[in-house]
Amino acid sequence: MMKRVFANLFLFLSVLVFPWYVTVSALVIFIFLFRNFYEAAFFSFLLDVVYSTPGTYFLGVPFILTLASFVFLILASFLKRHLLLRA
Amino acid sequence: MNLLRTVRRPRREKSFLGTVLILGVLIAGVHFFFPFFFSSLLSSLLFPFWTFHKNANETSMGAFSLESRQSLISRVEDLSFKLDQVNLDFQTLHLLELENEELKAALGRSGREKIILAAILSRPPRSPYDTLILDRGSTDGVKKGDIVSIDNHFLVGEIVEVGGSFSKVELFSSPGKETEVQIGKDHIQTIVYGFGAGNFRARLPQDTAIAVGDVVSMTSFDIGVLGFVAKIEGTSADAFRVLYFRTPFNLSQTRMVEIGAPTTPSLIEAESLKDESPFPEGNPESL
Repeated sequence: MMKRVFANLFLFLSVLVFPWYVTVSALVIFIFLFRNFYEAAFFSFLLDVVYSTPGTYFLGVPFILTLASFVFLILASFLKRHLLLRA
Repeated sequence: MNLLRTVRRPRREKSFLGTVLILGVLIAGVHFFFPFFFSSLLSSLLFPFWTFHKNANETSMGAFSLESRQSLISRVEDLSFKLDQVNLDFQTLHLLELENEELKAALGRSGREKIILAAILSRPPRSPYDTLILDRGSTDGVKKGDIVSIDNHFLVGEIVEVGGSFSKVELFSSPGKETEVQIGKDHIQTIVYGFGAGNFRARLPQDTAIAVGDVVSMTSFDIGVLGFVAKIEGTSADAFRVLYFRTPFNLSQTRMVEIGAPTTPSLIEAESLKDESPFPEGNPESL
């Protein structure tokens, strides 16, 4: 539980201070390390909402980081269930 | 032994997932009807942390230098000499600026609008998008659509969102952003496209009279410099040429910007500003 709290604190700090690729890399790692790490979607949403502008699209898709985090969460859940990788 | 076991989801996990999905739909709905609600709320929450981080950086700058005393002294002397030279150039620029203002006043153009000085709280690569967060907002007179510049000449971007004490800037070099500009002494008008990290690209007909080093500025008379043409691609057999240029300043080293329409420098000023650019002419993608 404490590890997860520290992970969330690190992500909050990372959004404020570190380059975006550090935050995204940490998100991917924590999604696989922790079970049901839905906080990843919140921090991705934070990055999208705070730093993007209205009408910002990546390949025609808005809020690309938030959507990518949801996709990654589902993918990680699938992989962990089927390959015996548990947090 | 079967290593590929399928584990069923427990009921509690399914209900939690359902709650997350419902929450996601609610958030999407709120964002659809109130696009700036979450941005303003979350930016207001983060604003004290950004300000603390900026102040901490400014206080600690130089406090942990590992250089020797002698090297620091020689660096100070070198910088003092350069500063004297820059001051001399600045006086010449200032005289030219005054002349420019007098000429514009004689032609019936008013002086510059009120300029608001703002500190940059957040910039790329902290931001995954080409945006800046500034520490001035609506309480300081910042409005959506205001132009942001550096040194009152170099254009940075446009204010796209304003909070009480912060504002968000979309850089002109944001990927896909289109900007109407004029290039060179002939003021050739075209549209340039940003493709991130301060870089721009434009297509012009083959016979257009442009050259490397030409000034690129916004089309309005009172707007400043966007950059200088760094590279032109295309052979005589092509119908179009592609020109590349980038912003002449380094955003990662910039602490303060100005909000408000800057003045257009004269061509002589623009040439001298080009000489002071920290980036040499060449392939912009390798800079």
